Amino acid sequence: MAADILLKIEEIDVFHGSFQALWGVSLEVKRGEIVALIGANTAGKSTLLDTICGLLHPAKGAITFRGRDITRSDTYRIVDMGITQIPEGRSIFPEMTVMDNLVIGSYTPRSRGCRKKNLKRVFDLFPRLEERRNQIANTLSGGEQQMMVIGRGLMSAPEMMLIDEMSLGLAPIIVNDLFNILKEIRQSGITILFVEQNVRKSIQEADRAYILEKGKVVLCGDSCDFQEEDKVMKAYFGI
Amino acid sequence: MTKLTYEHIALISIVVLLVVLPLVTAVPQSWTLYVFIFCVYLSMSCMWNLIAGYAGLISLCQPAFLGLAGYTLALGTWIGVPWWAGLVGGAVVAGIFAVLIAFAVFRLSGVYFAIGTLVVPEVLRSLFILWRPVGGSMTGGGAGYMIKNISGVGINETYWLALVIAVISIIIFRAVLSSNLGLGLAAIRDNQQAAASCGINTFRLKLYPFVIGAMITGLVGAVYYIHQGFIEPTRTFNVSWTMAILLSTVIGGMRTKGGAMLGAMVYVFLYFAMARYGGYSLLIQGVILITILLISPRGLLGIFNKFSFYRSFVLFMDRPVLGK
Amino acid sequence: MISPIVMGILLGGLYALIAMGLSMVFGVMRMINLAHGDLVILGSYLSFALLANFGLDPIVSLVITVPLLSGLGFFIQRFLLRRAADISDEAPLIIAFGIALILQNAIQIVTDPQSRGISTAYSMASFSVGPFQFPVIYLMNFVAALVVMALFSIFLKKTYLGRAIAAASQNKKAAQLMGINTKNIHSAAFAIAMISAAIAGAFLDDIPVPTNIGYSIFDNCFRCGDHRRSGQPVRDLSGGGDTWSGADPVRIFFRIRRPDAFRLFSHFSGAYRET
Repeated sequence: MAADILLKIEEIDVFHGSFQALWGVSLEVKRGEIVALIGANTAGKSTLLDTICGLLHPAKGAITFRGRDITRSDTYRIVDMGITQIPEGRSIFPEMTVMDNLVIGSYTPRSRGCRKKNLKRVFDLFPRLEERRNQIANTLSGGEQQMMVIGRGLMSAPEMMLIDEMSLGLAPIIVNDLFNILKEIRQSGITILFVEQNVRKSIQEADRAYILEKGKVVLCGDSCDFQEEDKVMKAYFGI
Repeated sequence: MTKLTYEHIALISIVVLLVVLPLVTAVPQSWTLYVFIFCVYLSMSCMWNLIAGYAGLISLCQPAFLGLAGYTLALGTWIGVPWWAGLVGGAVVAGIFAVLIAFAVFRLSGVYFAIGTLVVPEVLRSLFILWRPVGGSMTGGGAGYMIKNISGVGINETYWLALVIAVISIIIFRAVLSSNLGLGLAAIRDNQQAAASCGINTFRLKLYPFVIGAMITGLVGAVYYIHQGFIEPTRTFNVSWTMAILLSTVIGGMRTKGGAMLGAMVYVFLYFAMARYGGYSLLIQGVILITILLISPRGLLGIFNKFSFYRSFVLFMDRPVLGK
Repeated sequence: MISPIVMGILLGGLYALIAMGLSMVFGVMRMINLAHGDLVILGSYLSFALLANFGLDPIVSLVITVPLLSGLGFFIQRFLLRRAADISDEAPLIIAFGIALILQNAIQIVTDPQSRGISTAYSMASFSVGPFQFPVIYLMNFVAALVVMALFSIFLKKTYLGRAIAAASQNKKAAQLMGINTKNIHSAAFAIAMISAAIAGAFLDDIPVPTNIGYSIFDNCFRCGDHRRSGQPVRDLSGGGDTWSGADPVRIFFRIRRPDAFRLFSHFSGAYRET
């Protein structure tokens, strides 16, 4: 079973300056899983994703990916090992074309070789992007920008995708489309850890879920268990 | 009124010593010159420390203020204005000019502010090279102006004037820091938008130190030009003034209380020690600037602060003389 | 009036090349490189020294000056500016100020401004369009600047490194998440900006005394340089401004106090004044 664990986070403490954002957080993601990370604003979800990617480093604890320690690794090495993050708020390169945005996704040495193949895959998933490939990224609609950012992440040929608040500021119908695409991505063998504020939707889509509150994991388990724990849900989220 | 501390006593006795220094015949005349230059740089870097260090405005247009004040003084003496009125007028002109450019440059922030202010002296230099308000074609423009009717003002008088301005600048500097203004400035420096949303009038709050700095810089600049006896645009609106101010602040320690004092002292020492080496002097200044900034961002005071005897010295100096 | 306008446009190409290096550094690092003008002049003097001592044409000497300057740029970024950026926002500015001071004075100590008169075979040649005569060298400068800028824009658009530089300037966090080592990108951008500085410097070398100005003005430029350079920003903006197209005119000011830059300005303004 242990070989199946792709990402393992053990008891990490993370600080923003003197402010402690995460307190002894542990988390495991198995290969092929889709895991939700749920929590209110300032619960530390984005901090956790940034720490996995090496943008932040934990003061204590360890992170291993594919059995290798990445606690202190630089972001560019971690990305090359196969973790990609889809940052929140449609983090695009605004003045570049859609095509250039996608191509920069395959910047890592490992993914440069399969750039053509990955590009085809992205265009298959998002035909809209192919139509707009020469448009400046800034001029895309919000949903298209989010598609482009997901596509850009796929261009790095990741083994694992971290998705931060994909649904932020998008119409529900587009969010549904995007979740369907996540399923397709998962079927192609990519493990997904996603952050959401929308509890119901996340639990529906995920195999397992972690609930973060004030920098601590307060609940974790299979999503079907969560359906039954209505009282807990009420207590934490008021739904 | 704050309590009288050992530090105050030390400063006051130093000032008294410096006041009587030119009257003691045993002291060589050159010492007066050193202390005079020291006072000029001290006033300017004290104000720059306030503007740049505490208000976060990297102003590179200080030569504009001292030059405008100097020119006000010089042109005034040509049309019969006494020198002391020229001094005051110079400071006022510098202050008004600061207000005027503030409307333009305060729209910029960070490095943009620095570029915006950097060009101001350049423009003024061009202006004063072309402009000949008084005198014939032989004076003014690039050749500059003599400062007339200052025969009564000797080296000792300019020395005392500079000393008084230096003391005033230190008092203003400390008063601002311990006031609400200082608190507001710290808020703006950390996050202008957040400060503005707390109801702080950021424009006006930044304007105060900028204008005060301009006036003091102008005042002491005008005194410098009385001492020098003439003024011309190229060396007045010159980046070397900015360099001197920057160096003495950074060497001493930006954003420290005593940084400007220590820095000005070291700078004047370097200035006279290396004067004979010409271009090498500026080159070495550049090396020192980079080295100190990289080794200790808080200047020499930052290095001193690592030693415990210095820290206990500071604590001792801060103790009140009487009372608890 | 036609002649100075055309010459202004031709010379403007060179300024655009200099400004390009400046804006590359600014775009990626958000840092005003106050030393950029001095680095250009350093490139100019290096290629001049190679011309004077070994008879190397300034264009040929690029083979030596380009790697030298970009190496220097890499060094400056890697060991000075990167550390300064961690200290505070204004620290890189102060460091650049210091570098400018060092370079300026080092150049003045090492070189003798009066000895600069050697020129290449083509520096006195001119061509005529209708009734107007223009120095060939101005056209060469213009063409070279255009070619270099075109190459740079292809580089930025078509290579991974170029795209990474653009990406890092547009969205730093996203660039890091793409696996771009943004710290190295800064060094690379600085080194590349220095390549453009070296090229611009070599072409500054070639600006001869325009034949229509005459020696007296040239002489004046040196003796009364301080007086004459004063009005130049204004004239430069009015003459060379057309070709800046978006480049920040403020940048011109950085170059005013350089010994050779002002010679260049003076020639230009002299031509302007005669008509």
